Amino acid sequence: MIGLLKQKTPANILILFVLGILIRLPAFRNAALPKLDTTNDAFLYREIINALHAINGNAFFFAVITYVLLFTQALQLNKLINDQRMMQRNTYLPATAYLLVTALIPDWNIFSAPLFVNSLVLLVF
Amino acid sequence: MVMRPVRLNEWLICLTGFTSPYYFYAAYLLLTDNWSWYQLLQPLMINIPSPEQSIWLAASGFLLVFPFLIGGYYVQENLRRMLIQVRKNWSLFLIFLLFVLVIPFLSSKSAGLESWMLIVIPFAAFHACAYLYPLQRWFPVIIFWITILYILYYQYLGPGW
Repeated sequence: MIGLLKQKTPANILILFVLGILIRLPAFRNAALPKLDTTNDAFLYREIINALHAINGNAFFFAVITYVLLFTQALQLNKLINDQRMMQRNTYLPATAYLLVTALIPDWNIFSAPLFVNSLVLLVF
Repeated sequence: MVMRPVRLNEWLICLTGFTSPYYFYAAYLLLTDNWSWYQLLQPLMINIPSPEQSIWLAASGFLLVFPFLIGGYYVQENLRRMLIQVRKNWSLFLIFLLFVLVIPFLSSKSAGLESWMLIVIPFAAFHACAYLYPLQRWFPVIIFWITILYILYYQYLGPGW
């Protein structure tokens, strides 16, 4: 699998997408609603949660949004590392590592403000 | 900016960028009659995060840190073959990691594990090096499959999500 993901072929994006879903299937089956802490959480996060609730308040919907964010972040990080030539060769290993690392801690697979901030940080990088 | 010599212009632009969201938020509060200094500038509080301790958390922590250290070793080994800009980028990742490790402590109440999510970016970069650089092919394969098997075991035979 590592050998397959070391190659920079577009098919690896699909493999990563499927791998990411397979290793976090329970996150979709036992989806959890995001925690909204009115004392700690900032204004922008509360507005985003309210807007998403208005579209669909289902926990599965939030699980899908979370996975889409994680997958796009993985690809963003991968693109960043490849464009900056930070590794010896261009591979899909950073994206793979991102999806594996985020699957290690369940709290990192629930929609939260830091998850959203990760996308913005990767954009800024 | 962090890696370059200090230039006042650049730091002023950085300060402007840092304060712009506060400016717009202050305008929003004023226009919606919710103005208060406390809402705009919440006091800085320090709290110790208290995630629930368990053997699963320890195992996850080990699987996070061990490949990170391996990746760090290989980045260090290959540093002399990298361009200066690339070396600075790796240093930037490490400085980012240092700042991000502190963030969960600056919270009005005890933060959970989700506050540490920002460490994923540098950790994933170093993990990727642990998968790419080792000359012995079996080593990254073993780390990869142990991680996958642990994730699946945790979900289906452990406490699960």
